[in-house]
Amino acid sequence: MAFVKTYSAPPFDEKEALRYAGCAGEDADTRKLLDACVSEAAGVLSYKVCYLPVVPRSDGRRCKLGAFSAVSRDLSRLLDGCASAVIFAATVGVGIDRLIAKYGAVSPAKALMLDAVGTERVEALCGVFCRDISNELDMRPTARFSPGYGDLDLSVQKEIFSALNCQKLIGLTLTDSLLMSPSKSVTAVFGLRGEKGGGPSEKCAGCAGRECPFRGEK
Amino acid sequence: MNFRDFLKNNTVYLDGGTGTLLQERGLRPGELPETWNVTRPEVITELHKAYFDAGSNVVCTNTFGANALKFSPDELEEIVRSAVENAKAARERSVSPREKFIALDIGPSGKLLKPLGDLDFEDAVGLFKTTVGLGAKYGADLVFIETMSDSYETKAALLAAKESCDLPVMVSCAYGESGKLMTGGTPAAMVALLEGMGADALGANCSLGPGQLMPTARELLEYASVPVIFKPNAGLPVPADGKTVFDVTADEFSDIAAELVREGVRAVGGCCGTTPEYIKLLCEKTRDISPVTVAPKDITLVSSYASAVRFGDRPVLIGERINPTGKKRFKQALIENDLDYILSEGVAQQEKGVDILDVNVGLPEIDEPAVLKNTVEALQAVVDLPLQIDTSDPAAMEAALRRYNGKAMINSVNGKVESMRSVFPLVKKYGGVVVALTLDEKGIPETARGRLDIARRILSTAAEYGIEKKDIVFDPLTLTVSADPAAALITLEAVRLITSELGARTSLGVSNVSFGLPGRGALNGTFFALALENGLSAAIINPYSAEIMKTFCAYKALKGLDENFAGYIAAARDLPEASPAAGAPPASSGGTGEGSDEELGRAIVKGLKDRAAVCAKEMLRSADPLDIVNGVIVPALDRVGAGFESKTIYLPQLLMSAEAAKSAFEVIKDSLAGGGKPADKGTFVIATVRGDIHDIGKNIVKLLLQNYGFDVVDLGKDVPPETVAETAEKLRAPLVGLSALMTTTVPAMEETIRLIRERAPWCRVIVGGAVLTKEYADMIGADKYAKDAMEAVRYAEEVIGTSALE
Repeated sequence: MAFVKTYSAPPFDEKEALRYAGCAGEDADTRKLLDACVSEAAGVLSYKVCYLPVVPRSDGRRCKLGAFSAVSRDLSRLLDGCASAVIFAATVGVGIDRLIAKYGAVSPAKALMLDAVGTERVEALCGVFCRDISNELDMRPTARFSPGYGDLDLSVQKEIFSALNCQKLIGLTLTDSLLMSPSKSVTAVFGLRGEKGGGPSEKCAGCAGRECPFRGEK
Repeated sequence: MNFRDFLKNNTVYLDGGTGTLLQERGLRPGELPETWNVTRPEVITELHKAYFDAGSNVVCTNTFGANALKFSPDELEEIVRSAVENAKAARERSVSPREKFIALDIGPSGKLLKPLGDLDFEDAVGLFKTTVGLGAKYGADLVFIETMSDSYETKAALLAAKESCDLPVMVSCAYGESGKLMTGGTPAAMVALLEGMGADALGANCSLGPGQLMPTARELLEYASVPVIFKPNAGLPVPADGKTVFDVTADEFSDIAAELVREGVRAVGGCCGTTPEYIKLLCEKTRDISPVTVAPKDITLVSSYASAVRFGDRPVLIGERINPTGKKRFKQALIENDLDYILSEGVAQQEKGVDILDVNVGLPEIDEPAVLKNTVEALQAVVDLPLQIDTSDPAAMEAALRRYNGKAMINSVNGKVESMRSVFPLVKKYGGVVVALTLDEKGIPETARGRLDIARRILSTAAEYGIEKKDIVFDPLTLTVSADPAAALITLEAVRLITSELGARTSLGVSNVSFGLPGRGALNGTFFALALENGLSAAIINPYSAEIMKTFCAYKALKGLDENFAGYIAAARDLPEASPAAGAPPASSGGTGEGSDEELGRAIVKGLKDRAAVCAKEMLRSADPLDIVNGVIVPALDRVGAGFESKTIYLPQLLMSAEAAKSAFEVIKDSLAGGGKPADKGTFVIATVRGDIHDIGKNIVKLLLQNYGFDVVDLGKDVPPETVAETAEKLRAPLVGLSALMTTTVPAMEETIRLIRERAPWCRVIVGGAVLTKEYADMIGADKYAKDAMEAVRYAEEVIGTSALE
């Protein structure tokens, strides 16, 4: 059965948040807006992860991760040579969705910035979780791989949700159109390799989305 | 014995974990445990029997996830039937001499309700009704709604249970480390909601171990007038030797649970990780503790999805601004279904410090039940204050109360037989604190005693419906002193009498006292102070009135209700010495009028909302509204838009400017409301397509389009294709904008476009959203893919420009 971890707020990566909001730089007014959003969001955020450690098996095409399995060459490639893997779901809670909805009505600028802060927060949570688990097991994590990446179909979300018991454990639900609610949530798989040292591989390099505006330089 | 009688005088022992034990017996991850009722009935029966034998009075059927989302109607019936049969068989075989009951177990649907998720409230009610109906049909003794993590879904489940059977209903929620539900509800808020709707017992289960859940149980005990349930996990699951174990032993568990039974918990058991052994020890350790009598708590509570407001600790402020009476701009917003305007009024009042929002949308030309329901839904999605449903139409009242996510305040009932007959059943069914006006068929009594008499009569009629005094707040009516100089004294005396002789709560609309006199603020403030001193518990007020807010802060400070004067000192900084124009939010002082146009332009470019409104107001003194729009606002916006397109200005700045422009437009709209408005360029229908529940991008496009003079009809999110096509056809809209976020919702976009082509062939369709590209847009037949909001605006201008030429 899946486990739960609750974290305190990870360090805030301001640059990332601004990037998600569509700012390549900042000025005093944007800065003020960002600060206001960060402090307003702080009161409603929670940091929860539910996860399942599994032993990955793959024939190069179908990837079997405990009770969960999916057809994906990309995922098989990622987990190639990994002794174990982790399926997880992370969320910063539903409060930020309410804030975004509130400001969607009264201040779209603030809604945009809160949305960006929420995205940065859940990404930061994923980072903390991956490091935490890797340290616990004294192994090195691969990049994170989510449903919808590469050839991993988005519909595997359903299986992930039932394998992780997301609703009960962290309050995360899936709509009929496979959207996650709360929206500031991530589901993903990452592999763990025996040797420690070296960081996780560059998260953009392995992705096929060449046109992605958020793609890193490398 | 029936369960309700048993609950009255006994400590009820519930069962322990099911899911965790089934996993030990071979349930595979991902396999639905409910199917075992049919495929492995002997295992389920044995488990139930083990709990009965261990001492449980109540065993919950293995139906936690048995709902119509997961099973077909036939499967569901078979599962619920077998589940109840298995429990009955266990009851028969158990050797325990105790009373034994079977609870139909109801867990969450697994979905989040709209607007945060995609399950409609009434659909949720329907889902639960199906399961409860089956459970009652096959002979469950009670319904146990458990592990609920959202107040709205909990309400749907309880409402369903109440509407589909007469069985007792116990309701238990999952509170996290923060002491709140996943969606924010506090124990006090849940007590208000569940007790208001008539739950037979309420409590906390799952999510945490007994020690961590203790503070939540204690908080429930403080507020609840019905038995409290305590059913925690055996601590947290931890991996150990490739297995999962829970970290609280049966011994520790039962020690803590026994402590809470001593403090007053009346239904106790275990959740995940607990076993018959836990229950057995628990029974042994609590054998000699006599059940604590459940004392009625005389606490008046109203609640939102998140928190409860308690009457009596300090005066409660009810903001009156969501009301069309005497407000042209508000009427216009209602008629145009401009929910954003109404939401802004709610948010602004919350920022001013009110505790509850009165919601009145009564206009002869609108469908009040529908509009009130929609307004309540929209407000409760974004504001965490409780609402006061204010209507004289019982149909509107019921529509709003049914959908209300909490225990509402209800405005109002009065001493007329007909009024009580139509309002009290709604209060009883949906819960609520009702404002009772002390008037009857003969009118408003001229004496305080006369009003007290009506209050007494209202109380006794309410009692016949099972409504308690704590759920009634009397309004002895403020009349105008200019019509009768004694009016204020009579009202004040009535407040005093109702407070002292009935021990009931009171509320007044304050401002009517000064009607027809100059300098109303001073009269209102002083009257408010006098009423508070006579015992007034709440007031419906205008939070923009400096006198009212000053009186309120000063009163609290002087009565020792404001620790270290913190509230007073903060308010003294913000409140101006003189009162601003009634109704207007105070803004920083305006310019002199000279050079205002330049200033307005600058304010827009800099994105200064308040400043832009002040400048626009200044300019309106001498300039024509349309000249301000075309000569100042639009050029300023264009400059910012061009900056955005050339990437010297970023999206947040563009939006801040757009918001500043909007606040200037609001001022201009205000001056025109009722007397025509600037010519619209045309109607632009905008929607996020079916299945998509995020609308941030759509809202950005809407704001910019409005700025550029388009009349935007916003259909919201998760909009069915038919609705979009129908609206475009009905309004003969030249343009429709559609947004989609996920690849899974692009087919809905395609279908929407196809329907628009059929029904409104003249209409151009712009699409946008995270997953779209130009190629994708072409493929699904859109006229235009806009990569950002400015591009959408430019295209809209182009289309409208050409259609004007045609």
